[in-house]
Parts: sequence; structure tokens; C-alpha cells
Amino acid sequence: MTDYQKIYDGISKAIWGYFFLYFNISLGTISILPSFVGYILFLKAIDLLEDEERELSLLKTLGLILAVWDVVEWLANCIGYSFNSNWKFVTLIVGLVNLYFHFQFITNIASIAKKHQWDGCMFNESLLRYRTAQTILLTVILVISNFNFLPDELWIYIPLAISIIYLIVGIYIMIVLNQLRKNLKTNETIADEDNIEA
Amino acid sequence: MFDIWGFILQTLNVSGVAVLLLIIKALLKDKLPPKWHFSVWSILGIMILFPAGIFGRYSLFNWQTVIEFIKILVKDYSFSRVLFPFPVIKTVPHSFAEWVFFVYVAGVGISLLIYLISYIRLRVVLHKGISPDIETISTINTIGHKYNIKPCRVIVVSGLPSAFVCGIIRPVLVVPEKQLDEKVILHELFHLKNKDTFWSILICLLRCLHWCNPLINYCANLAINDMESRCDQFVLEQLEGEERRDYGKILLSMSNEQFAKTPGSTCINNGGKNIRKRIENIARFKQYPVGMSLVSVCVIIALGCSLIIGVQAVNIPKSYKNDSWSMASAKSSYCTTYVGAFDTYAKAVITESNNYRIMCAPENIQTDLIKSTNGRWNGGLDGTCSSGDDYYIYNVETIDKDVFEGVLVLKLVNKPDSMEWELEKSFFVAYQKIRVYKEKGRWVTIPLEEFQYAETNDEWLHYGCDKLPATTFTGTQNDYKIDILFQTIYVVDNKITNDDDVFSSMFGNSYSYNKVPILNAEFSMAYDNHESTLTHLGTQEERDLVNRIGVSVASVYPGQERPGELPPAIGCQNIHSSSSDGYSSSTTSVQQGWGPTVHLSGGGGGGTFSQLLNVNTPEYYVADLYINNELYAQMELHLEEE
Repeated sequence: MTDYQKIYDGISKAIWGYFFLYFNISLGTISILPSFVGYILFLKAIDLLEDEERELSLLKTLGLILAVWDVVEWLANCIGYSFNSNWKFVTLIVGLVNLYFHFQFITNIASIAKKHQWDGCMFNESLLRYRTAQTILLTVILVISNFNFLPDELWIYIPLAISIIYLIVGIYIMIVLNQLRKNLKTNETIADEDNIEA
Repeated sequence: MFDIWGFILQTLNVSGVAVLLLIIKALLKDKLPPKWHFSVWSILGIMILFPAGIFGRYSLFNWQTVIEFIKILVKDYSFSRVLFPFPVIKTVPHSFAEWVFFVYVAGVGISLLIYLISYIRLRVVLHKGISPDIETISTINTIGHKYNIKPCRVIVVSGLPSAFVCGIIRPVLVVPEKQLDEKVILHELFHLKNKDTFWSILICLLRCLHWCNPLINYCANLAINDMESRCDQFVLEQLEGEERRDYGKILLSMSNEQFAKTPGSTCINNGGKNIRKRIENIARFKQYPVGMSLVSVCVIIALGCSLIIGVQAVNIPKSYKNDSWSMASAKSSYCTTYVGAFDTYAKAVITESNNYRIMCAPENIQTDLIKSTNGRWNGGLDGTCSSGDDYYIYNVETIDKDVFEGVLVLKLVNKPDSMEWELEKSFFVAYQKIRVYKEKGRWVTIPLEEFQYAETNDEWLHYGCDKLPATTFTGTQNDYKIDILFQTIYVVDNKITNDDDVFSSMFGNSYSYNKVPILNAEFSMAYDNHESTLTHLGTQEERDLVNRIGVSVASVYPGQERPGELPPAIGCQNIHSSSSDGYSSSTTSVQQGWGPTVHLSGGGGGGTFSQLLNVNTPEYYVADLYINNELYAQMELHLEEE
């Protein structure tokens, strides 16, 4: 597999990973777009992209933790169990790992984009912008999830509004990744550019 | 912390946070910069100073249940709380637990004394220090200028292995007699810039509070290591290639065993053991990108807020279980709102649960309930409550700050032994006046009277019921007396929507009644109701001259003016009407031989509790009485003296 093909496939897997992460269709209590599939795709993407960005390999353990937790959560939901505040210790660790994982993952993809996008394209900057928005939103979600003891009438609209904004940011990340995938320079074009410069 | 249980509660709460921080730090070990690894300890520091269980919440786990369980096993039925993060001895120790607490407090004092002696020893040594030569001062000033750090006073002390900073208000940079290395000075100047002498004192003080907790001591050591690593990182970022390797070698010579663990100085580096770890960190050194500060701050905010807000101390036991763990759970799950106390008491009666009663009982009653071997408690109710129905709180009054009273009203499914059936299609209700007040941070409930009973056929009790307690307003004029019964009715939303099963997606949601207490409940709906009756005080002959009675009524609240003219209550049809602005009118035809009392119906309204926060009792009512369609009397109805 050429380097170009690996990057292309890696970014494709990242796009599908985000798709599984951001969209959820449920039949009763069973999600048919489980988010653990998203994390498995992220791990595959890391395998394909780590040669380009060494820092990505540091995310493997965290990605595995998130995938395992999501499998456990999915299985629990299937049998009608939900993790309540008694599980705060675990849910908080997972939430923080998730926060860091996405920050670093998009930062590294932005770095790859900087190296491989065509001149004049700003996909790396767009990705960093959405990464910042996503990180702040994930922090806000983690903080407000602690206020679930407040009465519904006070509280119902704030999480809903944040979730909608979070979804929009996620869709934008997928769009930018898709544009980046189409825009990648092939090895041949890089070689041609080198020849011209020479 | 006033007893050993309070300390155990606090130290368990803090230990949970420490374990969480250690796991998070291990997961993000080589991913976030040393500055983050040091800053994250501030969360542990805050949690040490944050009383466990304050506002009924704990950082991660509801430790209160564990503590109360152990206390029940040792026959201690008091309720442990942490109001203050520092230990205070209130009485001379008598019991074993009080002696243990005394030993703990003595340990805190001794730890503080050891640190104080260590600091004084260091200051004595510094007293012998001399001013450095011009060349040394010049070197330090040049380094400070180069890295934009303002140096402090410098003294030279012979026999020291390395330089360090000492003091908070007037810090002094202490250097050895031997030749200075620029990297060491830079390291110490970074300590100076970051006010690390202050942090070292704070770490020592917090360590003293939990001197007998090895986990907290371990974390304090790690925090100091991280403080050093943060300065190492600063220095390494300024160096390149071979110089970085040299820095590791210099560290080996910096170990200051003589004054290790002295607060208020930067020689507090846990001695030589720490140097190896620092050299490992130096070997792993990497430049962190600028954007890392965003995720570093976000992780600390999310972690800090989550731990400070914590989890509610809710571990509601099964209503009927009668073992020590269930009682400990009940004791540690207390009401955090006054409505929560109304709700818990009502559900204790409805489900006949001793555990639920423990949750909302004052401490003196709680002990008897815990000692009771019978898991059932119904507050002396003669009858069985309807399990699928709401309860109602009538006439809630604010008696004082944090003191409320109201009448609990429950529908019964059977006839109380003391009552007889008198009405058709009727049922019985039980009611009891109860008081809710705050006791040591818990909302508790006490009954003010025995249960009383009434027979009624008013199916919708949330709209009021004339058989239940009410405030009465009375006015009399020209042989006619009008009485108005005024009630307020409050409801907690206890409906559970069952929408998470396969059947609900096929056949729609189903509903059930929540019989588990809601400790932080709020009223969801409030209603007011007024019912008026007319009594003729004259003779039957006078009454027989009357064929139509009409009454217009308006409520007047404190501060309001008396309304000028009321809508006339005349006409030839029987009409009962009320409006949202407080007016109601009623016209009734009467037959010969009526009276002396006739019910004129009434009015009222309802809405969400927030909309009706101002459901107050009126100051008085005004009424226009129409006899045979002519205005007969204009009255003021005042509160009836009890």
C-alpha cells in the first residue's frame, strides 16, 4: 500500500469513526450504530496514519479503553441497564480520556493535513478550529452532566442546545475530513512538484 | 471535623479523589506537560479543604453509608457530618472513638511541629549566610534578565550541596560556596517565579491534616516531584543538545538530604530518591505544542467541577428491608429540600416503610427507628393508602426561616375503624398536620397531630375539598353570614413515564407512580381553592320570602386596595363562575323551607409551582349579597379567630 493510499484509507476510517460516534439510531434500547464501532475505526485509522504522525501511536491505549467501555455500555443498554451516578468514578475517567483522545487525534490529523494538502488549502486550520470547539463543548458536556439533579423544567433545554451545537461541529469535522481526503496529494504529484522545483 | 467518624469520612472522600487523579495522571503521563501534572494536584488540595458531604454531595462515592453502617454495628446512632475540614476537639475524650480522635489531632499537631522545627533549623543556618561577591550577583542578575525573571536577595551558605529558594514574603536565593552552574540558578529562578515556596508550605499543611493516610502522603510526595519536573521542563526548554544531558548530571549533585522536606523552601525534593525519576523525565523530554494548554485547562476544569459538584448522597434502600446496611443507607440518604422532606414522609406512610421514615426523621426519633426491629412504620395510620395515587400537601405555610408546616392528605382504599359510611359513592381521606425543618443540614419531618379522617366524594383532591382543613373567612350583616373556606394545595410530580422498553415504542408510553422518595423534590403544581356558604341567622318565615340568592366575591391581598364594584350576581338561572383575577360569583334559586345554610360553590386556580409562588392567603374578602336579584348587603369577610 502506498503512503498516499494509507493516508486516504486512514482519513476515510476517521470519517466513518465520527459518523458512528455522532449518529445514533436505536431500536428500543439497542443502538444499531454503536459508538464502539467508531472507536475501532479510529484505532484502525491510527494504525494507518502513525507512520505519518508518530504522536498518534500514543492514542492507541486510550482508544482501546474507550472502545472497551463503549462495548460494555452497549451490552449493558441491551439488557436495560444504565450506568448511574454510582459509576461516576469510571464515567469520569472515560469522559476525560475521551476529551483528550479527540483533541489529540484531530490535532495530529491537522498536522498530517498540513503536510499533504495542496498549497493554498487550509484544511489543517479548519480542523484545529473545529477541534477547539469540540474540546470546549466536550468540557461543557462533562461539567453539565453533573447538574442532572436539577429539576427538568430548569435543565432540559441547556443540554439539548449544547448537544445540537456538538452535533453540528461533528458534522463539520466530517465534512472537512472528507474534503481533505479528496484533496490529498499523491506521491506522484509530490514527485512532480519536486521535479518542477528542481 | 468534630469526631473520628468525620475525619474518616473526609479522608475516604479525599482518598477516592487521589486514586482518580493517580489513574488520570498515569493515563496522560507522557501526553500532557509537567505543568499540567503539577496543576492537577490543586484539585486534591481543594477537595481536602472541601467538607465531604456538604450540600448532601460526595466527590465520587457515597461514603456516608459505609460510615453509618460501621457506626450502627458499634451501636453509635449519631449522624456524622463534616462541617469544617480541620479537626476540632469539643470535649474531653471519654469513649474509645473520642480517644482515637484525640490521637489523630495530636498527630496533626506533632506533624506541624516537626515541619516547624525543620523550617527553624533551616532559618538558623541561613542566618549564618554571607553576601555573595559581585561576580555571583552579576551572574544571577544576567540569568534573571535573560529569562525575564526578577531575582531576589542572594546569600551564600557554606556546606550546601546545591542552591535553593527559601521564604514566601521576602524570598532569598541561597547558593553554595562552590561555583554556580547557570542551569541550577535558572531552575531556582523558575521556582521563584512560580512561587513554589508557597506551594511547598501548602502541601505540607494539607499533608499534616491527613498524616495517617499513606495515600495522601504518597500524593504529596508526587506533587513535590511534579513541582520539580515543571521547573526541569522550563529549564530544558531553554537548553539544547549536550546541555540537556549535562542538566541530568547536575541534578545528581543537587540532592539536598540535609533539609529535605523543609516547607517554605525549594530544597523540599524528597531527597535523592526523587532525582532518578526526574532524570527519567529529562530523558523523555519533548516540546509540547502551544495548543496543549487548551486541553490541559479543559481537563482540569472538567475534573475539578465534576469532583466539587460530586454525586448526591443518595443510596435509597428498599422500603421494607430491615438490615443494618439498609438502615445505614436510609440514614445517609437525607432530604436536601423541604419538599423532599414532605415527599419522603408521605411515601414512608404510603409504603409503611421504616427506612423511608429514618430518612426524614430528626436525630432523636431516628435512633429509636433504627433500634426498632420492625421494618414497617405507618405513623399510626388507621387504613391503607391508595398506592397508585398522589398524596397532597394542603395549606403549606412558612413558619420561620427553614421551618414549614402543611397538611398531608392521603386517599384511603378502605374505611378507618373509627369512621362510618355516611355518603354515597364516597371514600375516606386521612390527613395530618406536619412540620418540616432543617436539622444539621438535613430536612426532617415531624407530625404535629395524630392522623384524622374525613369522608368525601370530591374525587379531584388537588382542586381542594371542603372536608379538609382550611382557613375560614367570615362576615355577617343584616342576618346573613357568609363563610369562605380557603385552601392551597401543592403536588410533587411523581409520575414515571415508562418509555424505555420495546412495548412503549409499539404501543406508546405507559405511566406508573413513583413510590421512592425524591430527596431533592420541588413542588411541580400548586392550586388554590375557595368555597363559600351562606347562612341565614333569622327565622324560617323570613327565609321563605327569599327565592334567589346571589353572591359576588373578591379576594384582597395585603397591600391591595378594596375593589370598588363587584360584578352583580343577579339573573334567573343558577350560575357559578370565577375568573383568574380573583372574582367569583354565584346565583342560586332556593325553595320554600330552605336553609338556614346554602352552599354557594366557589373558585380557584392552578398552575406550575413557579407560576404560583405567590399563592398567599388573602388578607380578607369582600362580598356583595343579592337577595331576590337586589343588592342587599356589602360585606367584608375577615379571618376567623381559632
